[in-house]
Amino acid sequence: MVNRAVLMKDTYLYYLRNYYRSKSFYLMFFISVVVAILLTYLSFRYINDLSTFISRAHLNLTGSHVNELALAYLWGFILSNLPVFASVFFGSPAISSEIESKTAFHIFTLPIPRIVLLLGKFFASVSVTILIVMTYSVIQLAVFYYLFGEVIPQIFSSILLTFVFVFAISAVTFLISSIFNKNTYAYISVLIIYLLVLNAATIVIELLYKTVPYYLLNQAASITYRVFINLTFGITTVAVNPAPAGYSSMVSNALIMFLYFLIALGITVVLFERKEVK
Amino acid sequence: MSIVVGLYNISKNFSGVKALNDVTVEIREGEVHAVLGENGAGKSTFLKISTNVVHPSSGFVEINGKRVDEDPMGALSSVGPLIELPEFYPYLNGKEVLSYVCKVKGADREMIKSEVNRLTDLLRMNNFMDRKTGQYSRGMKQRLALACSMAMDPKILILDEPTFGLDPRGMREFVEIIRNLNRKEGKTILFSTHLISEAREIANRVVIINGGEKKLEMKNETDAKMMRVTPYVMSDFSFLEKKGVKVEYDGSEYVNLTLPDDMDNDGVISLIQNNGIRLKWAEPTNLIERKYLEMVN
Repeated sequence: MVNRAVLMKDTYLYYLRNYYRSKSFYLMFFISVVVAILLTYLSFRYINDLSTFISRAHLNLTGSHVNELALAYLWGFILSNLPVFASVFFGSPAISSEIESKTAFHIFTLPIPRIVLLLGKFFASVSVTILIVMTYSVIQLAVFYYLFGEVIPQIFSSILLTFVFVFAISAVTFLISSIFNKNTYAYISVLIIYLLVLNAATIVIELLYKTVPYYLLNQAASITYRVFINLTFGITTVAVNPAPAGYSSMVSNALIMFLYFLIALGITVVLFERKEVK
Repeated sequence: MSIVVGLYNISKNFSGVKALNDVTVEIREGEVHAVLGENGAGKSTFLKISTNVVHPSSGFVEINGKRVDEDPMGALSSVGPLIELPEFYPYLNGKEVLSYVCKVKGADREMIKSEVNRLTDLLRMNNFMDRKTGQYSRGMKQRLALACSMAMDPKILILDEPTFGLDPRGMREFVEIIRNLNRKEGKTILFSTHLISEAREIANRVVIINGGEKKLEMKNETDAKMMRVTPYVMSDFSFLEKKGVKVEYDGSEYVNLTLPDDMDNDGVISLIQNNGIRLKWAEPTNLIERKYLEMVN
């Protein structure tokens, strides 16, 4: 019997190859580079006008790194969206495509536990998403180093928190993918849930209970840019805290995202074990 | 011979529709077992349940004494499956796919290399193994799928309509490969087909499934007392009836003959030829064909 750790490594590499050679990967890679180039242009073009923007927006920020924080907030805001789109590309069809394109007939009949197949594919999907996040982040770090001669530590916190978010959003998309047998349904559902349902839930909860639902995934993911400026957009208020989100906020939001990862992946394992192809 | 694959009281419902109803089949070591039935009869579901692609609503499958639902890895480790026409991940080439299957089945680096080379030569896949599977034709995918099922020399092959969609030459080659695997290498083979000719040509035993139910299980044998003859020109065979032979014209070019106890195949052929009728073809009637047609009609 083949050792499970070896099986997991082989399965991970098998799927990783298929992912990084795919058109989806190159398209997502291209998009992330284009976005980073646009932000680089914005950073160089408006670096000297940032203080004007900040005061015009009544953000009332003070301190020695105001410009860096404001600019990093913009980069961080975009960064927090990259894993969402990457997971739509890589995670949404992850399981539904096995059924739709009949690759399940090839893999389900192999003497390999389904959990190993699932985790191998999941970590391969996470790896290519992280590669895309890293590409964007490396460009950001280079731009900041060039403009400011240093890199503020919050950028590293933001990148690390984005990694946690990648795990969470990928697990959620795998879960949605495991419910459907058609890729289109999985793609649309992921987008609708993240861009519509979660935002609608935020609005409803805020209106009814006058509180920001910190436990929703989109809110927890906002920590990736709130580490720069603690700006919380509510439906009734805009809360600005000049101090960036602190260590405890980072830990609690990371824990919420980690819980999403664990629960979503756990349910996916159960659904994948029961999956069959008619 | 010991039972190597056993499906016991298998039933399967798909959204309230009964695809299989209480089917029990046992396959012995070294047998070639055909599952014969029309399209939609439940053959594919039967084989998918054997290979863990579909879970039975009730009943269980045992392969080499291991239950597929309890120990899928153990049960499937000795099986080479080919279910429908599987697709492969489109950005991987044939070598990578086959290497992975060998790895999963426990091969080390050297074994993988020799096994990939052996199967590439055996199935004549040299000219496309380095190409990505997304560019493969149906026939290429079929060969790669068979290579995957034969990787690491499994004792049991479970093949779902293995010749489906192949051109006549491809079908012939495939049938030869399967037959040789049984005769020369002693593999136990369970395969489904909707072609009586294929079942007749390859199988030792045949299970006929219709409407999700096992209708019949029988040996693949001919009836020495029944013949089918094809004359060059349709003629009157009534002279045979005087000798006790039952003659049936089935409306086509065939004439079915049932011989009396004191007459054999050679005797009836001599009688026909002595009466000036030239035969294009004469063969003992295969029981599978007769039973299947009786059942379906």
